[in-house]
Amino acid sequence: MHIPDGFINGATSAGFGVVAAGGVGAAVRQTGRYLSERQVPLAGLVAAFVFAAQMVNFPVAAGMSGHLLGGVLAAVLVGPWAGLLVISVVLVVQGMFFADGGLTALGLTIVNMGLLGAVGGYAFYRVLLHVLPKRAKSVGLAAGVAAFLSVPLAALGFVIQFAMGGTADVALGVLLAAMLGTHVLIGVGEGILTALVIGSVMSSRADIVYGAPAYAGVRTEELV
Amino acid sequence: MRDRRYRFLLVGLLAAAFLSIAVASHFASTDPDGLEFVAERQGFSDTAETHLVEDGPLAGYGENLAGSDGMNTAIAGLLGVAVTSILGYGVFWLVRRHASNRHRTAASG
Repeated sequence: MHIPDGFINGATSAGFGVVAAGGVGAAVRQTGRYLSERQVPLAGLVAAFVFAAQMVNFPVAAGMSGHLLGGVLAAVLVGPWAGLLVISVVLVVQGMFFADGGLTALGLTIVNMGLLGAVGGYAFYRVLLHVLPKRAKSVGLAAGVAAFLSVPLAALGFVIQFAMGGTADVALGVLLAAMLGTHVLIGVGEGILTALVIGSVMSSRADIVYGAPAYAGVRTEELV
Repeated sequence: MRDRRYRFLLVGLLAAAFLSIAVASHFASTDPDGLEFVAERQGFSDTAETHLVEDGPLAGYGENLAGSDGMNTAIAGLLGVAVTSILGYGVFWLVRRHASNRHRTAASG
């Protein structure tokens, strides 16, 4: 999911760089409104955890692996805008030091994994939470399903970018089918990991979870 | 009590990061990820340019480090966790400070 330099032309990359910068700017303002001083170390460590978790490539199909994107995970824990900042920090570190994800392509990847993956994925989470039964257990489930959906959403972002400025001649329908097909499979892993992590944090410190609704703040199975 | 459980959560996240690195250094798949896989299959993986820090010490999560594969990955991963924690903490600290400064200015002005 980390786009190397060269896949997408310079003009499109620069355009998405502007979009990503706008998103990060909005994230700084929005996060400043609600982030408390006590949440600062938590947000920093969520970034560290997402970095480490992304190193674990799990086998998906023959000859292909996937890894956690972590957008929904971060968004549910510290909020969608702080989640975008978490993903951006991780992508900057990976691009600058680990040669993972091109530096001119950084804006493209921040849009896909951060704006679509974290902020867009969080929107899925809110919708799911609304339709699921009002129980504490629904939080992990909603996070897992939203995380699952966020991966093909991010893959769709890449296909749109490729349609706008892909440097190779590939039929878009074929690319769309290939990207969605593979990333739906990767999304299964994303969903399971996210549900497990959010579920375990919910059972130990539900009140620290930004996305936890009030009814899940206490350790009761059914409240409303 | 609440503070102790909050610290417990922070330590837990860090422990989970270390566990991820341990798993990554021994069991992670080396197959291409989804995008790389699709790029290879659709024949455009060769449009990728050489990364600016391809020869850097941490490039490819330790590929350039001397020593065994697993140890390389673990060292690169631990350094990455350290850098990400510091940068992440710094970014959120600045966001927090920026917001409270602005709030103060608005309140006094």
